[in-house]
Amino acid sequence: MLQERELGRTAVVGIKTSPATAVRKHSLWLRIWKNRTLYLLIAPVFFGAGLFQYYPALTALYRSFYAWDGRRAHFVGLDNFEFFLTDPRLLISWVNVSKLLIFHLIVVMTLPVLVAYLIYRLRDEGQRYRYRVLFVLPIVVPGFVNIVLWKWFYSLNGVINFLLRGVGLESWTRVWLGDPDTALYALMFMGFPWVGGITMLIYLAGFLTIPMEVLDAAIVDGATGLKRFWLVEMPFLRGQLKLQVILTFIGTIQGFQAPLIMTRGGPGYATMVPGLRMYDAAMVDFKLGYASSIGVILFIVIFTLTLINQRFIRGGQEYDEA
Amino acid sequence: MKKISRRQLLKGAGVAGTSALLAACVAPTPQIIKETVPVEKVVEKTVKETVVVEKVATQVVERVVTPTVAPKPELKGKISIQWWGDVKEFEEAKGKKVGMPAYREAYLLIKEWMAAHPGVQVQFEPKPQDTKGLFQTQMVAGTLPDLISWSVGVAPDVIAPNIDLFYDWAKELKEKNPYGYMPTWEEEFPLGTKITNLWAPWVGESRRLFLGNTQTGGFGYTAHIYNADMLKKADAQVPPKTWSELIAMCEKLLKAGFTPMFMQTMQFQWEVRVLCDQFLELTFNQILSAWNAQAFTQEIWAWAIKNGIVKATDPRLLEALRLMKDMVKFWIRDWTAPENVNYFLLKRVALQHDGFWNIEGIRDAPQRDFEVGTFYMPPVDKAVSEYATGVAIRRLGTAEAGSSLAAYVAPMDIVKRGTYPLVKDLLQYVSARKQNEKWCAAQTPPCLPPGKKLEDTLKDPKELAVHYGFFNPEMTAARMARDIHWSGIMDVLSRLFVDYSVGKLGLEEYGKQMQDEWVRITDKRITDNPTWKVKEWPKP
Repeated sequence: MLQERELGRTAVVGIKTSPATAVRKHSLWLRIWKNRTLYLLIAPVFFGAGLFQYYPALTALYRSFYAWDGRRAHFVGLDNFEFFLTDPRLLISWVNVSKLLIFHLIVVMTLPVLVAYLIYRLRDEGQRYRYRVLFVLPIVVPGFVNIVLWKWFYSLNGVINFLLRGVGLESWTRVWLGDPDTALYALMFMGFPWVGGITMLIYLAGFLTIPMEVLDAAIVDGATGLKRFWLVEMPFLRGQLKLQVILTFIGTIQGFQAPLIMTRGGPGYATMVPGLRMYDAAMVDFKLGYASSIGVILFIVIFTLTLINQRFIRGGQEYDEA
Repeated sequence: MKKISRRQLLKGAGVAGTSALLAACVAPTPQIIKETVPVEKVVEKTVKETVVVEKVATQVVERVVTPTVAPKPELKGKISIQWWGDVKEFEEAKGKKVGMPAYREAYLLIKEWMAAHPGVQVQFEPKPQDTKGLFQTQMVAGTLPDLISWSVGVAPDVIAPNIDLFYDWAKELKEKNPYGYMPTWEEEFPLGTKITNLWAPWVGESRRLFLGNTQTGGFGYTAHIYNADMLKKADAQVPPKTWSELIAMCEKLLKAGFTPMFMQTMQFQWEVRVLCDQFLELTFNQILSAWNAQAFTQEIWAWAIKNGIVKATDPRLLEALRLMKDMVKFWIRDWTAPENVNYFLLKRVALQHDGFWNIEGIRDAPQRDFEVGTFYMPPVDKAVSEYATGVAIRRLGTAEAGSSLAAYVAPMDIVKRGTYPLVKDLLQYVSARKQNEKWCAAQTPPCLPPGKKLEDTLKDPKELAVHYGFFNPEMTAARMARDIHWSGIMDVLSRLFVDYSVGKLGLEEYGKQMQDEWVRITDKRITDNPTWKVKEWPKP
């Protein structure tokens, strides 16, 4: 691994220090020509990514300075950004998304880790397989269906109120998504027990790559139970944790599926999030320029948070090197 | 007599049979009808077929006749129609009445047209839940189907800014409809030019974009359907004729242990709009006079807000919101109820407000085991508000208000695609007076001839008093609701209402926050719409 990285570095240095640009260009084209079949094979992927991912994103950046309804556009400068940033209820939507983010971060770094660890510590390979399948199987249910189901759970005649009535807590029943005091928490509670199949698998894979020599040495040194978990095994999971943190940042800040389907950002502004504002601007009001400006702001926020995350949270490999 | 051979007999029979077949295949031979009737003069008229459609008074000596629909083999091709819901529901009904009558009957008319045009293939495309989003996307992409079944109510928001993309039928409407019996296609519509006037502010003075079946009498959104058993147990009287009586009814229901109403809070604007329509009648008239218009557009709203003619801090508007807050104690308040849950049918509430188009569905629901009735939202009276004006409630909405419920709009692209002749023929067929009467007869309640009262049409007193208790007279431009109807500013109103209703916001603060937001939204709309000639706006 280390050798490969060093070879890579050498190659990069080699290109940077090549004597003449013309030669470099020539060699690049020559290399492409030599491997033209391979380049042709991967060309559709690049073309698709450019057309369907980068082109729309760049268009959004450009259009964020326009009042654009899909047909006509006229330049409005920073007006779209100003309209979004001077929204008196903007703060509420950022507070809501921050609460959701904190909750999701806590959840993603605890429960799936715990489940993955329990499965990892199972001695019987068959049992390990069965539990892994058990937790991964629910991912076949589409996310949309899950949201609709939970919406029904929370309704006046839904499962939650049914259970409460069943245990004599009639006075506790309510329309959970219709009450501004409970709606956001209801969104958080959705998906209980919050063990995502893929997330758990990623953590499990992390645990499974811990070298036996390290564990043996730790046991010899007297690391057992919690000590072994915190001081020996968890550090190896930093790469996975870092990935999950980044994905949670992106998913939560961009995400608006649950508020869209379950609450439309209400009651009032109780579950409004910036992503939903963007969706409404684009799909309800058809103000595509304004929606683009919200998208650009979301991109800046996510990008900044990702950079911070990259800067301050070290991955497992880096830890290893340190 | 000369004997004929078997061969001759067969030959003769063959010739006779072929002649008969050929005679049957050619167009019906016009027949001359000569008839004497006991009136002032006798009229002879040449017609193609003797189907009597209408006989106008005894003094008018004229039999108006119409040809039956003949197949048009020259019409060939394929057209697509974007349709409410899935037509499979109607296909699989096997004679049973399923779905909303407005769309079911419109579908049956299209099927009739299809049967008469074997060379034409019609493809129905179901609308998704987000109909507006799909429409806008297809409009911008130029992929709209040949016909879109939709409500006229979408015109201000979506179609008005893109009017050049839609086919204008004004010229064709001045010509004869071959399926009709009036001199022009336009006259085939029961309300004739009234509809044009209603649509004018949205689609341009002379344009006719929406065509379809016409309901002569609308019920509006704010019908209330009630559980008669619950009301009986609570000893509550129906229909409440004033707001005070409505409150008294709800109090009685509450006392008897029933939850009076279900309110989907996100859409409670309908009630607020009816209240505002009463309280702000004079202001609305003032605005429309200044613009010489009959209905609001976003531009008119923007003018009214910018010039301070409509303010969210207006005490009359706040009074409407206060009255709504007083009703909160009677509600099961749900922001967005799950679609598969109907609190009314589950007997969790005694009343439900609804549009008339859903009443048949509730009345015919298999799980319903209780009596139902309906009433229209009553006007506010002086006993509950000093701002009560006593004006009759205007009818809210557009599509159901005497204009087209099953309306169609076509993109301009039909000319380029070559589907124009098919689309025109289909529209002419379904909107011909005869077809419209067929459509009308199946509606709930049936359409009324213009100028006739419901009582003259529906004779069953139970049907009349209970099921259609909220009926209002025929729609005219003068009775059309001139309410607050701009989704942007109404969204703010209903969202802030939640905070007000739970006591997180006082009434004055509510008005202030709403006003700030209205002005902010209006300024943005002005920036975004350079076509609005702000400098030429009328002086307030």
